[in-house]
Amino acid sequence: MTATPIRTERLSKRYDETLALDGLDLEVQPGEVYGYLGPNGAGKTTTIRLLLGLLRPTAGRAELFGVDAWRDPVTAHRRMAYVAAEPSLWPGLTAAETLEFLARVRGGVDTGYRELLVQRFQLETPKKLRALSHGNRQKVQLIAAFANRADLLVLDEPTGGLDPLMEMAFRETVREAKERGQTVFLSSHILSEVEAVCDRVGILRQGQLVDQGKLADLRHLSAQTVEVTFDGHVPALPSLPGVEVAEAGASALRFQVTGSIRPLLAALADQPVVTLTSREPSLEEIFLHHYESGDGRGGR
Amino acid sequence: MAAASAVARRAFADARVRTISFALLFALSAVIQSTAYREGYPTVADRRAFARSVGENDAARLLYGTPHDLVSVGGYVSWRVGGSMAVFAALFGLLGAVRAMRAEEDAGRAELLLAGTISRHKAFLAQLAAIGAGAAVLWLALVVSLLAGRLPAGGSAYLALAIVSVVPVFAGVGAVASQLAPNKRMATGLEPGCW
Repeated sequence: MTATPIRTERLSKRYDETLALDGLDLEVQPGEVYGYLGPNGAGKTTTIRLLLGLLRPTAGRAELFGVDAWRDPVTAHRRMAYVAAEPSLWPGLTAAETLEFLARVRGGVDTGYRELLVQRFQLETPKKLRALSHGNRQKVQLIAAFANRADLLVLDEPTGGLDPLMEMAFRETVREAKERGQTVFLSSHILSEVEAVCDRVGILRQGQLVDQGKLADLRHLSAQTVEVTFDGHVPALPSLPGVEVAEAGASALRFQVTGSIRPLLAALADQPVVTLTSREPSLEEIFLHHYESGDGRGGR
Repeated sequence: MAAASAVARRAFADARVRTISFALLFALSAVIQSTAYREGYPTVADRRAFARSVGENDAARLLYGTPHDLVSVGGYVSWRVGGSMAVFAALFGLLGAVRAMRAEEDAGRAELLLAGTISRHKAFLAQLAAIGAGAAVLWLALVVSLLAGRLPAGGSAYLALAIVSVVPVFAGVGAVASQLAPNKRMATGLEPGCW
């Protein structure tokens, strides 16, 4: 039986006055790449520290593969590898020594795959960590975690400091992990990254999961954008339910359509339409939609 | 177990500069004091005269403690360097504990270790083991240098043990301080309060 890689029940954490995490119910299935989205201070890192058993929950519980993260962290960690947001490593060690050390602490490493990752991320292994930039130190952590071949990867904003080329290497590595059946929990505030690699996303806001679902499902919650250009001037159109004119030019209109697009298409059918493009909202738009619809506290 | 031993070895390697400097300090002062005493007071008469002068010198006794035997080289060395080395041994234990248990945590590295397959108490014991290994190095350096100062083996081993035994006590003090204080700097500042 394959246990659920991540499951939390009413997981909460309070720091003095601040409720950092408020009754989180989360379930990540085997083989899934789960994007955990939220701005700074939304509670992403707190969630991860609770998942790792580094913090004691104020209420509720967190389980990795059915093992309580706080009560039995060692067993819970056996099938997990973690990448911290801050690459705090040992400045006096070389990158190669760090990889070796982390492999021993985590138990288990696929040295062949690690070699491949070192090549892919172009890591200069003989260099000492203190001589490496933030991005390069982050690569060390990433390589150590992925080379572990753990069933679950918990990544806390792992691509901070990576250049676009390395960001591509990271995405490729996540896809490989997914193909191999590994589960990935990716906390991020970079929407394009989550959009590129994740099957499912959860949006966290002020310690609460405000939305969760497959990207395709989330898209329906937000309006889609329709851009129309006309031959000549913009004709007069009747006002339609769920259709809003976002921008009007001399011969072009941009609509935000909530719900069905058919009334708009019907209205446009008799008009001198030259081009019509429609696109789904990006994750960015969904995200902003959630943050703007709230009370605005700590939103952006 | 592999994880714990990796952590212990890492902590020991991390402290190598401190361990080596303390070992050198211990070794040098032991050799210098035994040689200087032997050459400065070659005869029993010289040594008696010296013992009498110390007996009359309150400042010397205040600084180095009450001497028990100032006529033999071993007695002199244990009086002259035993006390001050114990202070250094205490410092070694304190610095080691704060470094291992607080600085690592402040730097966020402890988190990375605990995310691995090592429990909190095993990580703690591994750090203590590394300090213990450092103390063993100091003991060895002391014994060898006392022997080099031509002192008897049994007495050398015993004196070295007496001095080094201070390390675990103050490592314990440091461990407590490092958990009470919110950061490394305060932890290091808290300790003298325990002296």
